[in-house]
Amino acid sequence: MSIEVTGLTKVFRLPSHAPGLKGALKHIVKPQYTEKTAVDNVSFTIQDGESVAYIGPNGAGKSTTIKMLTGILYASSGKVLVEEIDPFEDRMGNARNIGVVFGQRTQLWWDIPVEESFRLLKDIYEIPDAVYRDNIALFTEIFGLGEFIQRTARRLSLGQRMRADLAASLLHDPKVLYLDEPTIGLDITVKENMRQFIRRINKERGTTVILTSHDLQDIEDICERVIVIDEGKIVTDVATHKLQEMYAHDRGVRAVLKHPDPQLIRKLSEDLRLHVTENDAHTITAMFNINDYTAYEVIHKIGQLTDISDITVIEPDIKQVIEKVYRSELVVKEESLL
Amino acid sequence: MNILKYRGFTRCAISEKINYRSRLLLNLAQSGIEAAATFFLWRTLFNEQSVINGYTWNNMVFYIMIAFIMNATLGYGTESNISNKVLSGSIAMDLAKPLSFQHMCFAETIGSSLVEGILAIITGGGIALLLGDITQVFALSYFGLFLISFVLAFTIKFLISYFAGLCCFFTSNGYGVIYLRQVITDVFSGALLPLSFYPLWFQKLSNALPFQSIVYLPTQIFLGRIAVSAAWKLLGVQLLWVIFLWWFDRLFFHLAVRKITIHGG
Repeated sequence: MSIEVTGLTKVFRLPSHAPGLKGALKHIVKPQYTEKTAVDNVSFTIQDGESVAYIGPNGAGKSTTIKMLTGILYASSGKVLVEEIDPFEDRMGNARNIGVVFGQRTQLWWDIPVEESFRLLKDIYEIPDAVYRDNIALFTEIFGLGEFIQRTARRLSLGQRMRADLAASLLHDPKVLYLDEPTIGLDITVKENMRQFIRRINKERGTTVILTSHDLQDIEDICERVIVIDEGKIVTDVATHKLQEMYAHDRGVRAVLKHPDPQLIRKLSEDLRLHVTENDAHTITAMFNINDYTAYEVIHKIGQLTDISDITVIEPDIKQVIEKVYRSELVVKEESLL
Repeated sequence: MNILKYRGFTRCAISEKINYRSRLLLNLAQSGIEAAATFFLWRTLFNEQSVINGYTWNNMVFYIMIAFIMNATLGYGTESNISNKVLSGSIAMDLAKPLSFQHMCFAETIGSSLVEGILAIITGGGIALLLGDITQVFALSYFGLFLISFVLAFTIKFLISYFAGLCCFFTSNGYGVIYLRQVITDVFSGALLPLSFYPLWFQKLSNALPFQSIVYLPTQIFLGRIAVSAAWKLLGVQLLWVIFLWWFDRLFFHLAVRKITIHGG
C-alpha cells in the first residue's frame, strides 16, 4: 500500500470582520473567526505504482490534501500513511520517500546554476554518486537539460524551468511523486514531453503518481484512476476508462442549416426532448443520450424539418464528463465503483 | 543527522549575496550611517570631557566599530530572507524535503553573513584604525577570547532573527517584525549606547536578556575592560543563551508549523 488516508479533515480558521473601518476596528478589539472546512472526512487508498488524478474545481481542497500528504500541513483530524510513514509524525522520513512538483513554485535556487541546485539536492537527499550520475544522464537525454543546466534558474523559460523542476523532484528515486499543476502555462510540445516522461517513470520505476491538474489531457494521458473532490468531499473515485464508459453517454449533432428557422429549436426540444442550443443563426447543436437515439435518427429528424448543409457528430470525451461532475450533475456513489 | 549536507546552502548563499551587490552595499550603508551618527554624537560629547563613564574617546571609537560590524553582519537583507520564505510560502518547498528548516536557515545565514561581515570588517575596521589607536585598547592575548565571543554573538543574533522570521507565520507582515526586532536589539544589546550608561534597573533587565550578548559582551572583551577569568564567564553566559535559544526556536517552530496555513497556492 502506497498511500492510506482515513477520515482526513482540515479546518481553517479565517478572520472575519464587517466591511469598512468600523469593522476593522471592531476586529481589533474583539476578533471574530469563521471556520472553513477545506477537506472534509476524506478517505482513500492508493496502491504502489498507481497513477491517480486528484481533481476538482478551484478551491475544492486539492492542494490542501496534497500538502497534508506531504507533511507540510497538519491535519485537523484523520490519519495519513505514506509508505507506512505518518507524515505529521515523521516529516523528514516521509520527505525522503517523496518527490514534489508544485507548478506555481520552484524548488530550484534562483541565483545559482541549475547544476548547482541539483548538487545541493544530492547533498540534501544524500543520493549515492552512481544513482545521481545515472539519473542526471537519463534526465539530460529526455529533457535536453544540457542546453540550460549551466544557467541560473532565473534565466530559464517556464518550459525549461518545469523540466528542470521535474528532474529535480526525481533525482533521489522517490517512491511517490506529487504533481500539483505540473503543466500549467506550458506549450503543447513541452506538455507532451512532460506527460510522456511522467508516464515512463510511473511504468518503468513503479513510482506512484498523484496529479492535480486543470488540464484534462494530463489526466487522460497519465492517470489510470480519477478521484474528484468538491467542497472538501470526495464525489467520485473511479478508473479513468470506466468514468468515460459509465457517464459518457451524451453525444451531439451540430448542424449547419441552409435557412435560419427560429421555430426549429422549439420544435426539436418539444417533440424529441433534445437539448438544443443555437450557435448562431445558421448553426444549432443538439445533444442526446445514446440510450434514446442514434446519431442517424437525430440527423434524420432535423433533416425532415429543415434543409441541412453540413453536419458534425460530437463524441463524448472526458472533458464533458468532468465538467458534469464539477457542476454536480453527476454524483458517483461509493458502491457503484466496486 | 548529517550536518555536512547543509554546507551547500552556505556556498550558495555566498554566491547569491555577491550577485546582489547593490542590495548588499545599501544595507552596509544603512549600518554605516547609523554608526556615523553615533560617532559624531560622541565626538561632540568628548569635546567637553576626556573620559565619560570610564570610556575614553579611543575606547569609544572601537566600541562603535564593533557595534557597526555586529549590526552589518546578518543585516536586513539576510534577516528578511528568513521572513520572506515564510511570507511567500516558499517554505512549503523546504518542508517537503528531508531538511531541518532551522539548520538550513543557519547554514544560509552563515554564508550571507560571511560576505556582509568581511565587508563590514574591512570598511568599519579600516576607518576605526585611521581614527583611533588600537594598541591602547586591544591586547593580543584577548584575540582568541574575542573570536569565540564574536561567533557566539553571531549565533545568538541568528537565533533571535530566526525567531522574528518565524513570527511572520502569525503576522503576515515581515518588515514590521524585523524593524521591531532591530529596535529592541539596538537598545538592549548596547549598540546604541554602552549598557553601563543606562540606569541600574535597566542594566539588570538587560542582564536577564540575551541581547547584550550580541554587542555589549564582545566589546567588553575586545576592549579588555574585564579580566581574562571574567571573560570566560561571559563566554559561558553566551553559550548558555545559544543552547537555550536553539531549543526554544526549535520548539517554537514545531508549534508554529502546526498552526500555519502556507500562504498562497
